[in-house]
Amino acid sequence: MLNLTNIQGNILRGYASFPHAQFLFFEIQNADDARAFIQRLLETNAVTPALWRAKPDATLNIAFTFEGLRALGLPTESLATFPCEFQEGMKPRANELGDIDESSPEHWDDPWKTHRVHMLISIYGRTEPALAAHCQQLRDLLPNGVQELKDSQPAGLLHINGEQTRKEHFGFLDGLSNPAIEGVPDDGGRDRQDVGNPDEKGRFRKIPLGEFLLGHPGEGGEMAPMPLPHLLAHDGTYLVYRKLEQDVVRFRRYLDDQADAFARTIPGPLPDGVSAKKFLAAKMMGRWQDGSSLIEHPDAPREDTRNTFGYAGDPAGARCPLGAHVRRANPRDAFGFGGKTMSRHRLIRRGIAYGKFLPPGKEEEAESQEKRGIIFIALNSGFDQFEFVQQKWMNFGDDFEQGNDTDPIAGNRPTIGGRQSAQMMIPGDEATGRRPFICFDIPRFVTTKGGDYFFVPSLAALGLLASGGVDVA
Amino acid sequence: MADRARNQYGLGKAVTFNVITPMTRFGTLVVGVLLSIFDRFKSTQVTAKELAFLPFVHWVVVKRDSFPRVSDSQPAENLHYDYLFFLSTFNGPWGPYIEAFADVLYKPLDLVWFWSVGYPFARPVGPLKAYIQRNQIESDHSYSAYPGASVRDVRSALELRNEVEKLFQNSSGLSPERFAVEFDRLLISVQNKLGTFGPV
Repeated sequence: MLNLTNIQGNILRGYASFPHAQFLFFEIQNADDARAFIQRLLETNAVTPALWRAKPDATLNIAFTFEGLRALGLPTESLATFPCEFQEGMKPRANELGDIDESSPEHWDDPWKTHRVHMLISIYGRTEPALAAHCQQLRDLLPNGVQELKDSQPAGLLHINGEQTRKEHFGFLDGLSNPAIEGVPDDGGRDRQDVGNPDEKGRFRKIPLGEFLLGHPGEGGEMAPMPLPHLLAHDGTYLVYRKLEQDVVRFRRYLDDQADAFARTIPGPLPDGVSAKKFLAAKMMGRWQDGSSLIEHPDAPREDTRNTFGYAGDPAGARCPLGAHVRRANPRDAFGFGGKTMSRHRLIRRGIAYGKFLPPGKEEEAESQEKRGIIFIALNSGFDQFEFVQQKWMNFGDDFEQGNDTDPIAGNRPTIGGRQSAQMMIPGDEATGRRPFICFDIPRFVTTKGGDYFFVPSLAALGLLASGGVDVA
Repeated sequence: MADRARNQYGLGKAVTFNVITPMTRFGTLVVGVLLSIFDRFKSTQVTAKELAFLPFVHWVVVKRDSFPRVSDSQPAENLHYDYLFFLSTFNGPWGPYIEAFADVLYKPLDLVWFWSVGYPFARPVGPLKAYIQRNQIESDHSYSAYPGASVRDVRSALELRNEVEKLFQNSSGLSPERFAVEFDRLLISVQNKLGTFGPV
């Protein structure tokens, strides 16, 4: 039974109509103060549930790291029942996550570099003034024993050519594909594009709720391991927060450098409006910048964001390369076996951009030096889901016949077996006569700048935490 | 514990996996028949081979009086059960390996392991994982001829070698233009077999 008034917002459905966001980070120095603070937020209905009576101007949601739960005074019997990835947090798992070289924690931004964040409060606003007012109200409520850590993280939809857009900094429409989940009411609009897992017949079926929410059956009818007591865990989820900086100049320069060589593999002229550079970018991403799929539209973008395509009909990657970013992140039916070898590795993504979009042609100007990227947010009922995608699909290529090669867009560039894995095969197409092309020496485009693993309790569980009455016995 | 081979470049990709479970005499009889059927009708092996994260899977029954002794001076053990050895190597993390194995091959797993004492069935996978944890034996030594190669790496390398040798044999005397065509044909036939490889 799905109780949307108990589940926090921005989990099962995104805050698509809230284009401005601020992520605030806190250290809990006094458990009593922190509990009273949470109690106050609950009493004033400040915490936004998945279902609201009237749409608010701004939303507020709370999540805790393991250290945060400890600082709140959660008893050891309860703390010990949380998964080990959560207990450790993101920083000690840098090697597993591929946060090496420039992405390693010693190069992270504050507060991540110097502090262990205890509590994350995410505020989204429909307008910038609403967001600012909400942040101020929250700061006014802060007791002495809860310290805000600098810097808070502003984020929001990008403006490109004066228009608000869901594109990310490399120019691709983002957030197009999230899991379709059993029992979650259709929101009417964008949620209709969500896609489930493939079944034996190659159709998509909705994914059981338990893959994303604790206390509900997941794939195979099984529940993810639940921390104790169950009231604390039920309807909660685990949130992965990562600040990922994007090097837009480097990305565009790489495409420029490769475009001529790539063009030589293409027989005949490209369709109107398609340059070799745009085509190459689409091959690396697996979608055109406007979101149309390479499977449905292998030759040119068509502003078609329909999402129910599969890869089984493109086994060699003539349309969408096997190592393309979106094919790695969600392989759909590419592995066969009725989706059984991928179905337990799905994530809800609620990413949002930060920084200003760099207009093309401004790569030499001062604004190219500004920091920009994406706040990557993923939700799952166990961090093993995210870590599998990160380790096996982003930073390794074996499942996609790509050996050790990593994701061309988001992967790291490790040296494995004495060789750096920084290449991508763009398979040729016998139907059109396009020859294979290997992108060599792909530099790192995305660098981790911070992040941690959070637990997002239900509203009832927040009440339990605020009461200080968590008792496992 | 040495579940993975290691060389100067790092850890090997294949992880060893040994599960030893007790069976009654009747179970031994049934499993013997089942394994011979699997041997004759290859569908289980074919599926296992398609699961390319599995370099090796093997079932073997050791009867209670057949355990080897180092020498005659080692006293023979008086065992109450026969034992089913499940010996395998896999690429990747332990949990997803068992999940994928149980999701895809639950029928043969249940048929063969059903006769082992305390077997909980392959699905749901939670109890199966607990059962395996209780009965898994770590390896003291493991050897891998190509620690940096996964199953897919080996298959790709063999096919690549085969194709390159074919081109080598058939290309002498070809004009540069004709050679270019043949080379492009080679490249497209091996295009998804050219990933970087080596120990992780």
